[in-house]
Amino acid sequence: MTGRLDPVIHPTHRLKICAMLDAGTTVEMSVVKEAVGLSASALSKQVAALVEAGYVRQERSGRDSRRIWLTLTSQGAKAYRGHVRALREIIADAAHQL
Amino acid sequence: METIYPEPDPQQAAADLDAVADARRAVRDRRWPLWLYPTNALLLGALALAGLVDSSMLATFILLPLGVALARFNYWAGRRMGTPFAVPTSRGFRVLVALSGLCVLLSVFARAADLPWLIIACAVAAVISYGAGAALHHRSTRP
Repeated sequence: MTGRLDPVIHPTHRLKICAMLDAGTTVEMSVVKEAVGLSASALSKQVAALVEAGYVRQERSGRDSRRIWLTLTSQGAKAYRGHVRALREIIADAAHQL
Repeated sequence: METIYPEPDPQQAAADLDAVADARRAVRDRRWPLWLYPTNALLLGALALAGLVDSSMLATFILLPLGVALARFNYWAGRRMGTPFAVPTSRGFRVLVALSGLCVLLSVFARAADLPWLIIACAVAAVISYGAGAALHHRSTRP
């Protein structure tokens, strides 16, 4: 099965966000912010791009509306895994050519 | 509209994959609150010891709330940490937790075979196994 580079996930910050959501299923925005190292507004823009593409679902906590939970959609998971596979193939091809 | 990015070269691809690995670890290897380790160990031990209760009905009434408490404590702690479903990367921890669960399961068979000493041995093994796993996990999440 061949991978496919996804233009929405290609920027490193978005790739990291998708990797975190793939690893944790549902992750709170503050955890993502801490790991990605972006300001709140910059992170919101990156997340908004992923939400707009239908790759990430964003929900506010019922009990504490300040907490925002992010989840990778099935479409997002497929795109992310395809992107990671494509990256691995690039490295494998380069190693093969040596 | 999305910008068209050039295909990454092998160095960039490797750097992206490193970033992916770091991001995954940041979610999976978050520090757990210290109270969660002894709570889990004691609840697992108590689950195994429930087999010592004579009445099956009473044992079920004890098992059920203990099992629910185990699940709820872990979910609640996970929600507070911001990662309720993340599975730690430490293989040693995962193996020892599975072993602890097996001891609890074995205690059910020990009850069916009417071997109270085996039930106690299973409970002790469940607590020790989880405790060892907890130590590994705590060490693996040290900053």
